[in-house]
Amino acid sequence: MTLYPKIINVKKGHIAIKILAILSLVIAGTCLIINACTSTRFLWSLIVIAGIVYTWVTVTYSIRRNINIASSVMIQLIAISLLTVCIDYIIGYSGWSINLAIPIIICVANVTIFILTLVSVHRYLKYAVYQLIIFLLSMIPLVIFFVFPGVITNPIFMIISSSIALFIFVFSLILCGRSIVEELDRRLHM
Amino acid sequence: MPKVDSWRRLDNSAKIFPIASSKKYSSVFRLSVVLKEKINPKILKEAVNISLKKLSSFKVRLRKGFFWYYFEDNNKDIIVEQERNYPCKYIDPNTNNDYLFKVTYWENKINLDIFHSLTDGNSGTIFLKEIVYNYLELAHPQDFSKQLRAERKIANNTEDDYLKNYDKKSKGAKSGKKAYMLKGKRLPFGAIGVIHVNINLSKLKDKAKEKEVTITQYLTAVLIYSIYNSNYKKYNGKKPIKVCIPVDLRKYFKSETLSNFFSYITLQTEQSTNLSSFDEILKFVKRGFIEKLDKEEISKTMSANVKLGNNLFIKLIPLFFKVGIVKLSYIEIRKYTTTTFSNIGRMGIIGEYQKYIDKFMMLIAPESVEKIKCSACSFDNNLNFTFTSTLENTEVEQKFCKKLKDEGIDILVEGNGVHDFIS
Repeated sequence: MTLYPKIINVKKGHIAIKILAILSLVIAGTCLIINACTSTRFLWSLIVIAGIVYTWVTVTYSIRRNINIASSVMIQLIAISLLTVCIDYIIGYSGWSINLAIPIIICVANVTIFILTLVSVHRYLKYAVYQLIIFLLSMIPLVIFFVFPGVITNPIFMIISSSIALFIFVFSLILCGRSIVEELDRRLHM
Repeated sequence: MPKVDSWRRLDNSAKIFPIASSKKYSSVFRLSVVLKEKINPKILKEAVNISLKKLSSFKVRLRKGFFWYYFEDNNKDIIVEQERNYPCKYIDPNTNNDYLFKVTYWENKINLDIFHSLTDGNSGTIFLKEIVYNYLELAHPQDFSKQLRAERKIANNTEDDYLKNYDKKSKGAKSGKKAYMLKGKRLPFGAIGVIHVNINLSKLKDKAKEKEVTITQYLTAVLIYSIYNSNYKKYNGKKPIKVCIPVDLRKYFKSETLSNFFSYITLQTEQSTNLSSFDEILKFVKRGFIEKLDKEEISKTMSANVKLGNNLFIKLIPLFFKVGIVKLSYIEIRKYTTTTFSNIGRMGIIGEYQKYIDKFMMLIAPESVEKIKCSACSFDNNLNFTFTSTLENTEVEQKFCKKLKDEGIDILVEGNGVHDFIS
């Protein structure tokens, strides 16, 4: 009888992740070099790099086990918003990211969270904190509109998205208000 | 109305572990039982599930709050699997269905690895014993009557007894000098070397009685003697050897809690102590235990820790910043201990069940600063003293065994094969 198993000391590094990391670096480097050798007026290689960074954020977050689906919505809201702003800047800023793309992303995120709430009221508590964060993030364009006038040139989509976010948040509060208070009590206990 | 999972705050000691822990510093201890028969995994899983119904305080997962972590009911299935890794490794909640303990088996042995946030060694043994009782009842239904099951009533109390018993006016003792750190080449790939020294308990008792000390005092003295005569001398140590001894506070304060309720004392060698003489070390250890195991002294240490956790300024720091601050300060705090020796004492098992059990073992996770940690527990006429180490050489362990043999105490050495140890 033995007390312990024989342990083979091999440090497991995920080979697929390593290959993909090297591949990402090679693609990013190659694009940068080609971009630098051909023309530096339009830095299209930076779009490739932003795309690679976004893919890595999404993949590394999504492959984690036991993640809350609402947290994925929150991460995507942040990541896609940043990606669109980056692309807008790289191709010569015209404001489509902040005027149009981000309000659409906010709408999609809020509606997604709303559907999650409706289809799984029992699990709503798990989404409550993320919904609160998504709501607060959704209000950022509204804050920018009032604090930095001129940044948002076409506020119609921003107004629609903020209204949708506010409506969904208030509706969820009415639906699961007590649960939210309980969730906040445990999350904020000192 | 959505169903609300119940939650509870972490006790005062438990708060620190999730903040300070990482893959390198697991804060995990292991309790193992070796039966006289092969383990049946299906029965084991059922036994764990039955035990969890009784001890629901273990059926929790750790959640992040804004200021502190907290426990929440865990409704996922428990994972019971064959032992594949080194003992006391970091328990990744993502691969363990969020549970903060891990049950594994190997041949005749059942292992229970527990993240220290969940409970301490004393309550851990209650859980392990419950698993063992249930396992044996399921494996040998004809041998156990229902009366025996009824006898095992356990109060599922998770009160924070630190808060109930600490003295608000007490002033904490100073931590003193930094300790001598054991030196030597580390084992590769995060390996943990385990050496179990099975000691004949009656002979050890006789020897301790002869020297007029307790078993824990005697073993602590042998440990200090072994460290001094191997690692300390070899590397020309200058700083004092400091041994941290966890103390079960339930012996000093009325408590039935299944949460953490322990403190510790630290024995620090003085320049005046003649460390080459075992009898001198024994005298010093005995004196240290008498002085420090005084209820007032223990209360002082406990109260200082509780006051720190209750400090309003600390409470108000968001968890994100707490993690950084605690991780940095823990690197420093750990430099005040050479090694830890935890003796959880006798494993009391109901008579009918004893014939199926060979022995119990306890292991504590070593880490980068405290490279060797020691633990002990006893069952029947065997005291199992365990070294867990991240060092390649086994000089301390060998000196320890030699000293016991020289003192006329019978021992039997076993290990996990990481060290090629010859007794």
